[in-house]
Amino acid sequence: MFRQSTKFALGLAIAAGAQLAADCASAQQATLDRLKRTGIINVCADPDLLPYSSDKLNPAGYDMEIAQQIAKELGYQLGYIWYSTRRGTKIVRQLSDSNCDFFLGFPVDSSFEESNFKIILSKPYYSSGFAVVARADAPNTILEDSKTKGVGVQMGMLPDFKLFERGYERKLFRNTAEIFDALLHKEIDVAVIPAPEGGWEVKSKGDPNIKVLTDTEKDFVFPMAIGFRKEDKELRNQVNAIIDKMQTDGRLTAILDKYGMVKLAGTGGGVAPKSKADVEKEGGGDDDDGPPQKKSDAHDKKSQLIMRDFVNLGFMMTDKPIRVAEAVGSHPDSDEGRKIDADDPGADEHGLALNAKYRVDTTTVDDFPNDAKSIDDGRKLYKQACYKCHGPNGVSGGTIPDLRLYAGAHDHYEMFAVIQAGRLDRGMPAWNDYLTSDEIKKIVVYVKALHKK
Amino acid sequence: MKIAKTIVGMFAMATAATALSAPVSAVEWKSVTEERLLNAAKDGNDWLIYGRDYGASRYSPLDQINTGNVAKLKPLYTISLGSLEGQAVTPQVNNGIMIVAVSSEYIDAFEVKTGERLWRYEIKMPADVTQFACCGKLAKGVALWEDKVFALTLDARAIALNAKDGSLVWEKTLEDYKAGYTFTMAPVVVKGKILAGFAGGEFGVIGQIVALDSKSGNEVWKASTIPQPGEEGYDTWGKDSAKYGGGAAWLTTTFDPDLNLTYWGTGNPAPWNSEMRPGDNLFSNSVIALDADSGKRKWYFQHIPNDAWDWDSMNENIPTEVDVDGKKAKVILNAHKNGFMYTIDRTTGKFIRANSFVHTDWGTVTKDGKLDVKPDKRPGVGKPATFCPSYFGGKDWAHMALNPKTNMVYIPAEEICVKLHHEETQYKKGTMYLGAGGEIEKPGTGKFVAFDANANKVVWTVETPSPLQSGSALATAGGLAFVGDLEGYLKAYDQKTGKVLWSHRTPSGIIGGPVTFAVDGKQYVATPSGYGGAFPLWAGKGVPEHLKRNIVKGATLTVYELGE
Repeated sequence: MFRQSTKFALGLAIAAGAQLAADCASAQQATLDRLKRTGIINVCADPDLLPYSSDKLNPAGYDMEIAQQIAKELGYQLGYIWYSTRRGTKIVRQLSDSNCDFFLGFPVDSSFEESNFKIILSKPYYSSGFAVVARADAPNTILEDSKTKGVGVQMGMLPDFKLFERGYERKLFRNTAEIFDALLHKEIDVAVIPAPEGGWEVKSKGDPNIKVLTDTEKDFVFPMAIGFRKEDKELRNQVNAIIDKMQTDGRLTAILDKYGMVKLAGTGGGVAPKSKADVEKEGGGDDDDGPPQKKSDAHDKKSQLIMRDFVNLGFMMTDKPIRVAEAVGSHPDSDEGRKIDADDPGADEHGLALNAKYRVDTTTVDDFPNDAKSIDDGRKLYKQACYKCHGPNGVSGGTIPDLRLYAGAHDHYEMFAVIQAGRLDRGMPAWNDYLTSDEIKKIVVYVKALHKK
Repeated sequence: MKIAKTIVGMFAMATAATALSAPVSAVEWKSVTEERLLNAAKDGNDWLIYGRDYGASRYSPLDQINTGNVAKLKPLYTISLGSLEGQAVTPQVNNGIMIVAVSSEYIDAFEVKTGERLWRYEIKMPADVTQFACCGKLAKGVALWEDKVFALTLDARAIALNAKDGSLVWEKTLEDYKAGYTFTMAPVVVKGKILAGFAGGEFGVIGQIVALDSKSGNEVWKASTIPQPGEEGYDTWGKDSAKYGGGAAWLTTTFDPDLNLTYWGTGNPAPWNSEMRPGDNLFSNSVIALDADSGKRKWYFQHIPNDAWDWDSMNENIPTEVDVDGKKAKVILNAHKNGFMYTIDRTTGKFIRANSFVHTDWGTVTKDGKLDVKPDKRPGVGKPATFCPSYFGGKDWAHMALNPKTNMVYIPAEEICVKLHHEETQYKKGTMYLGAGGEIEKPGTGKFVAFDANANKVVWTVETPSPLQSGSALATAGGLAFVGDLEGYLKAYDQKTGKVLWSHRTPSGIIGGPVTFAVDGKQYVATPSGYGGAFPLWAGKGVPEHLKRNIVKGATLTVYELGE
């Protein structure tokens, strides 16, 4: 019975989607009519993700306080639709399915609009990004100085990829709390974390042992905007005007300050740039029905990284207990568990193949060694770390994934990430405390070599 | 809102229904006294000690179920244990209450007649613990003493539970699991002290045996199996190798009240590469006899000096009296990984005799108990050797059963060969310290072997399609020998002939110990089921295809009774 009703609901949703696409104008009118009729505008937000939002509303989080101001300006009551942002696209779906009317906290990004054609963004309402945090008594607070020692990052987020690409030794963690813990226990000297969370940690706990630096890497900073359904342009334009007003009268700054927002260098003091030129450059301006603006290739590349960060930001930050493995093994477009790729012998067993598709370009094979010595080193390391479950020479006895079978279907970084952070829910341990990045790379190339045999 | 109310309503109804149908338990915990433990061999009603009695005979004096009627044995119930881990456990029974260590995840108490769970204790385990263990979250059983249940956890803790309600009485962290110290054995209580040995020989630990006060968990004595500078035997470890020497005593000890000795089998020296530790490597791969009160070593016998094959001596040493040169002699029996059954004088540790119980191709055990190894059967660096039995052993940790009336031993055995070589390695905390490579080149098979300890020879052998790697044997006064296999069948064999008289297929592979006991005068048989453990992880190509195809994980407990 339960199964039937689920199917029925799914059928309805598909029908509704077709209807929406067919008649945007009336849909737009429908939203405004509904707002007027009910007097309620709904915001989607994560129930447990301070400083952004909290269903306890005490405090509500700065995004919620800004949403409250927006609702007030529009003359509506604010309704909250609490929804885990663990997977970013779930929020997109909540919006596009009209379960809520807006969401605060999308990074401004052209590729985002291209790949989420049902969503439009407001102008940026603030800028933030990733800040460097350090223990107050740490001898150095410069990232470069910890290049070999290891910089704390949250697995799967932008700094993870960026620092990896730049040859940094990273220490992977599952959330900001773990990073703070590691800082305080002197396991690491510095880390890169979402700036709002760093600011909030210091502000809410008043911890004198941690400092959040305002100076950060240039490409760790980006503007944030509010998302609406594509057809709700009128609502978006109204909100753009409210953002302008709140910037002018200082309300935005006051709310952000209340949550200890870190004023990252070069971001205009935590508040988005005001000039029209800047706004257009960042996207999300007052454009009308035309296609998304074409950006330069360089900008697109950055945008993709931000986009990926958003997706990962969605699912890495809120799940408690965090299941790293799920994050790694899930496709951002798939809500309903893992799809099975019949062509990939490993996919049904491990659910990993899909993930490779969106992370395949995060690094290249060139980052991994490819010489016989490295492969042999990898073989020895495999024996120390992997053999006891995955079997001699990668031959599984049947109860644990056979690495020879799925090695070829996944990119190197994928396997690297799984070894480093584990898939704890499925029994795969995290090896980041016991193996260096170089060692893990050697294991990866060894397993890849097995596949060819 | 309406829906929410309905759900709450349904939940309330369900709760009420459960409360109504909950059994008014007729069973009561009966204090497990020293007298009961010392007489465990004679009392068939209970299964109070991991090996059933202090000598680990796994022999029950019950004969209600026997060769004449075992064909009518049928499941009374099968219940899920809620785990996907391998179930290496031997369930234990006290006065109609069964205690089951469900991997290293839960301790359960059941009323055996009904299968109703009386309580469940969930063992909180760090998420990374399996990283530091060889073979998953294994647990083999518990120890019962007075009104407490003692368990050892994979992350090197000892815990004491109130046997009446499963509440925690005390817990002690005894070692650093991140250095590879784990517990996979069932503890045993001797004179109020909990005896336990750490696993971790593949992680370069130093083998440790501890005795804990059952009231507090405080350490009473501790014995190391690997000598450190200044201690006897340290000179048998060249190249400073004693530091990470292994020698884990990872299986439950036997206790000999007659001599007040506990017999501990010690595991392989670390690493597997023998060239990195020149010398005999005392007291790895040995049996050591420790005084039950003080932990002082009375004697030792080393089966495998300078082990190159991973032939641990961890297996149980069953004390008994056998015929030697026409006289009864006090001995221990040990079916060794190297494929030989050793008979050792338990008063002195002197070797008496040995004979093979499976196919061995590496050489032989000489008359004075030394190894005579063929030159091409000892692996080395750059020198692969193919030998049988493999590192899984002619007998792995699956326990044998001894019928003390006949001195017949029923051995779950294996026929697996391996090609192995050694190579340099470095100790790295938290990773395996092996220094060996190679593989099992073809699927292994198994044997159920009846060995006459008086005559020192095999009487019958039944071949099985898979190695009997970790399912323990059970012998009864009803003339039956039970053993479970990786295919999931529990089988009853005729002790005299080896004929299979009965079998039943459980939901998954059996890697634990079947037991028998009686409640209100009626005999039952029970077995855990739940594939896992070392074999499917470590054997690679040694795992038969039909197991890979057919057997999936999932823990259950089946209790059998005689049908009409």
